[in-house]
Amino acid sequence: MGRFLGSRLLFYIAAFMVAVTFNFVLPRMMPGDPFEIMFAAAQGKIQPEQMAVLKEQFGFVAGPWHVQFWDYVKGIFSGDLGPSLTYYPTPVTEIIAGALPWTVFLAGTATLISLFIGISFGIFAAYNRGGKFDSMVAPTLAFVGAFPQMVSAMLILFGLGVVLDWFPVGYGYNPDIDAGWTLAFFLSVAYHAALPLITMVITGIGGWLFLMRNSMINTLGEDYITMGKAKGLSTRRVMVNYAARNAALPVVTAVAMALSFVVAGALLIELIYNYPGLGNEMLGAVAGRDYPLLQGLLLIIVVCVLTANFLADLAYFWLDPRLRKQ
Amino acid sequence: MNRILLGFLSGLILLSPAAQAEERKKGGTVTGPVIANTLIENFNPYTQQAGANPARGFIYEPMLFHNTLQNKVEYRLAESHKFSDDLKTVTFTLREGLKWSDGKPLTTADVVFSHEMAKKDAKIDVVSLWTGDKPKLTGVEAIDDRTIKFTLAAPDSSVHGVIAAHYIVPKHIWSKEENHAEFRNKKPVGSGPLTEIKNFKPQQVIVCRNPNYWEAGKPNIDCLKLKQFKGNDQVQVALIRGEIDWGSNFIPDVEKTFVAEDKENNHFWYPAGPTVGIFLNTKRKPMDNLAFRQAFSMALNRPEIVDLATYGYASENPHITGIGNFYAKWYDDEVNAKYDYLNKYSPEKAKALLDEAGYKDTDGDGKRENPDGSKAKIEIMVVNGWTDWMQTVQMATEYLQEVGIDAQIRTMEIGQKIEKFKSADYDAGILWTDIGATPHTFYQNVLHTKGKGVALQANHGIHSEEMDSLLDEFIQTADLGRQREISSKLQAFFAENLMMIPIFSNPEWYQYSTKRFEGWPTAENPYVNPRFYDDGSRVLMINSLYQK
Repeated sequence: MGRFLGSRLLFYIAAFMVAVTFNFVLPRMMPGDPFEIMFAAAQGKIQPEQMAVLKEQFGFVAGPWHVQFWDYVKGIFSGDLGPSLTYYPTPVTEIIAGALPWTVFLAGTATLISLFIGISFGIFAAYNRGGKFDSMVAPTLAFVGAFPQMVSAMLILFGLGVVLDWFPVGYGYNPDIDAGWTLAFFLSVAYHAALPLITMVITGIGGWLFLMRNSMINTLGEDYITMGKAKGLSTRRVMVNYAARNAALPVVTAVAMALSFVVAGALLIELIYNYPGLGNEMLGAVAGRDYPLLQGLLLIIVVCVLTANFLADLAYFWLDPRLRKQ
Repeated sequence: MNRILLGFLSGLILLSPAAQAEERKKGGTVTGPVIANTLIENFNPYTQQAGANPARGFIYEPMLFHNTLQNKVEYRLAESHKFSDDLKTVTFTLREGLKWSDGKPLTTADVVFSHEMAKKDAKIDVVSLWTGDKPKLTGVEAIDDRTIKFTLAAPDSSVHGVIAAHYIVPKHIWSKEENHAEFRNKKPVGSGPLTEIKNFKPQQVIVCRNPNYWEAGKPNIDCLKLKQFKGNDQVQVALIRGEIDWGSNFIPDVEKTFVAEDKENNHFWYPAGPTVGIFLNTKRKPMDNLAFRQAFSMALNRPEIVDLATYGYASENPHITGIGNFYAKWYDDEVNAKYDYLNKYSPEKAKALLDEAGYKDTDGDGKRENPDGSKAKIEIMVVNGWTDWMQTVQMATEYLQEVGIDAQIRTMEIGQKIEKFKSADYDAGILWTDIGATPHTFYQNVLHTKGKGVALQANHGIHSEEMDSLLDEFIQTADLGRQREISSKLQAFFAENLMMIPIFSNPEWYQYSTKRFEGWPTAENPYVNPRFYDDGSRVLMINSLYQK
C-alpha cells in the first residue's frame, strides 16, 4: 500500500512540475505581447511614446525568460503571483480569490445536480430498459446534451432572459444589494444563478444518464441480480442496493474528472451569462496576454485536476479490494 | 450677515447669462457601461485603464484639454495658459479658490508635486513628459499659488495639452505613499466633478458629486453608476432594456434594435473619428509602383463599403489626403482639387492606369501580372473577428479583382498583425490611424521617419527628410498660418504618394437615451466629441447632463 501511494505521489509531483512549466511557456508562445495588445485595444488612444511607460510599469514581464521563470517558480511557492497586467496594479491572487468562489459555486452546484438527476435517471432507465422512459426521455436528454453548450446557453439566454425577461442576463448578484449573510443577497444570488444552472444541468444530465445506464445494464446481467429477484426482494432494493452500487464503480472515475474540471469547465457559460467566475477572467487574460493572471489561473486548474485525480486514486484503493492485495 | 452675503452672491450667479441658461433640475444617477471582465478597485489616475478608470476625468480633472469638435481649448482647472515668445516656456494659471474634495486648497504645490513624481518615476510619467527617449520638459516652477511655469526641452507649441494630460493629485495625500505606481487610492481625494466612491463592486462602481467642486452648481447629477459588461452584445441588451443611459460601442442595425424600441428617447450619433485605411508596403511588388497604388484607390467603391460593411455608420472621407472630417477645419481646397479624382470610384480609369503601367494579364488566368511577368498577388491583413473591417477588406478585394488585381483577404490575430506591421512583413493591411488636436498627430505617425518600428502606421517605406523637418517645425511654431501651410504640404505629400489608401472615417460609437437625462452632446448641439474614453470630453459631458 505504501509503495502504491508513494509511486502515485511521485507521479503527481512530476506531473505538477511539467504542467507548471507548460503554464509558463504556453502563454508566451502566443503571438504578440501584452503591450502590443493593450496598444492595439486602445486603437490610437495610447500614443506610441506611451508604450515606453507601459513597458516600464510592466517591466516584470519584459525581462529575460530565465529570470521571469525563476520569479514565477518562487511565486508559486510563496503564494505571491505578482500583479496582473490588465488590472495593474491589482495582485493576481486577489482577482482569483474574487472569482474562484463563483465558479466553484456555479459549476459545483450544476455538476452535483446533473450528477444526481442523471444517475437516478440512468438507474431507472436501465432497470426498465426498453420502456417508455428509456425510449423517450433518455434520447431527448442525449439530444439536448449533444448541442454545443454555447448554443443552448445563447438560446436560453435569449428566450428566458431577453424575450420573456424572467431572469437577469448577467452578474452573480444584483450589485445594488450589499453582499452579506442576508436573505436578499442569497435570493439575488440564486436568481442570477438560475439561467446558467439550468443550462449546465440540462446539457449535463444526458452524459451521466448514459454512463450510468450502460454500466447498469452490464451489471443487471449478473447472476446475483437474478438471485436477488428470486429471493423476492423489492424492485427498489434490487435496483439500488444490488445493481446500482456495483455499477457505480466506473462512474467514480468520471465523477472525479468532472469535479476536477469544475474550476475550468464553466468557461463558456460564464462568458455568455457574464458571470463573475474564473472562466470569465481566463478569456480576458488570454486576449490581453496577461501572463501573470493566466499563469495563476492555469495553476489553479492544474492543482484542482491533480488533487481530484489523487482523491480518485484513493477512492479506488478503498473501493476495489484487488488493489489493496498487491 | 452671512445669509445676506450668500443671497447676494447667488443673485450674482443667477444674473450671469450662462447660469440663467443652465438652470437645471438637480440630482439623479446616470448609468453607463464599462467593457471589462471585472472592475478593479483602483482609482489611481496614472494606471492605464482608459475608460474603465473613473479616476481619469471624473475624479481628477485635467488643467485643460483640446475640444476637437469645437477646435478650441477648454480650460478646466486652469483658467489660461501662455507660451513665451520663444516657445521655450509655458505658464499655466489655475482658477481662483480651487479646492480638493476634502476641502483643502488645490495649489501649484500640488502641480509641482505631481510632476516631480513623474520625473522621479517613469511609471508615473504616463504621457512621457519627463522620461523616455525624448523628454518634453526640463523644469517646473511655481511662481505663486496659482501660477506655474514649465520649461520645455525644445520649442513645442502643442505641449500644453500633453502637460495638462498629466493628472494633478493632492500632495497632502500622495506624499504619504511610497510606491505611487502601485497605490490603489481606494478613497480618492480629487478635483473633478465626481469624487466620492459610494459603492464598489466588481460589477459596478458608483461615484458621486464632489462637495467642493469649483464650477458652481455643477455637476447637475448626483452620481454616476458605471456597470461592467463583457462585450458589445451585452451593452446592446442593457441599452435596449433601458438599464444604461448611454452606450459607446458598435451595435448592429442600431435603428431597428435600439432606436425603434423607444423612438422618442433612444438616439445615436456617430460623428467622424479617426481615418481607417489600407496601408501598402511600398517595398514590395506591385505596391512599389505609384500607378498601381493609384489604381488600387480608384478601384474601390467607398460609398458602398461604408453603406454595407459599416451599416452606413462610418463617414466617407471626402478627400484622399488621409485626414477625414474629424479635421475638416484643416482641409486645403487646392490640394483636394488636384487629387480628389483618386478618391472616386472609377474602375475604368483604374484599368487604364494599370494597362499603361504595364500590369497586364500575360498568362491568361484573368489576373494581372507585374510588368516583369511575375505574379502580382497581394494579401490584405485584417484582425479575425473585427467584423466590420473584415467585411470592408472582403469588399475591397472584390473591387480589386474586378479591375484584375489578385487581392485576397488574410485574417489573423491582433498580435500577429501588429508584429507584421512593425517589421514591414506584409503586402497590405487595414489599420486605424491616430487622432489628436491637429492633423499633426496623424501625419507624425504615418510619415515621420522616427516612427518606423514604433508606430504601426509608419513602416510602409515612403519617407522624406523634408516631411520630417516640416513635422518637427509644425510643433515648434505657434503661428497658426504657418501650421496650416505645413499641414497643406503634408496633405499634398500624402496624396501624391498614397502609402495608405484611406477608406473611411471610423465612427465614434455613441448611443444615448433621453428618457431620464438630457444634456447629451448631439448632432444639433455638438459641444464636445462624445468620446467617452477621452478624459477631457467626459468631464464636459458629465457636467452638462441633467435629470428630466
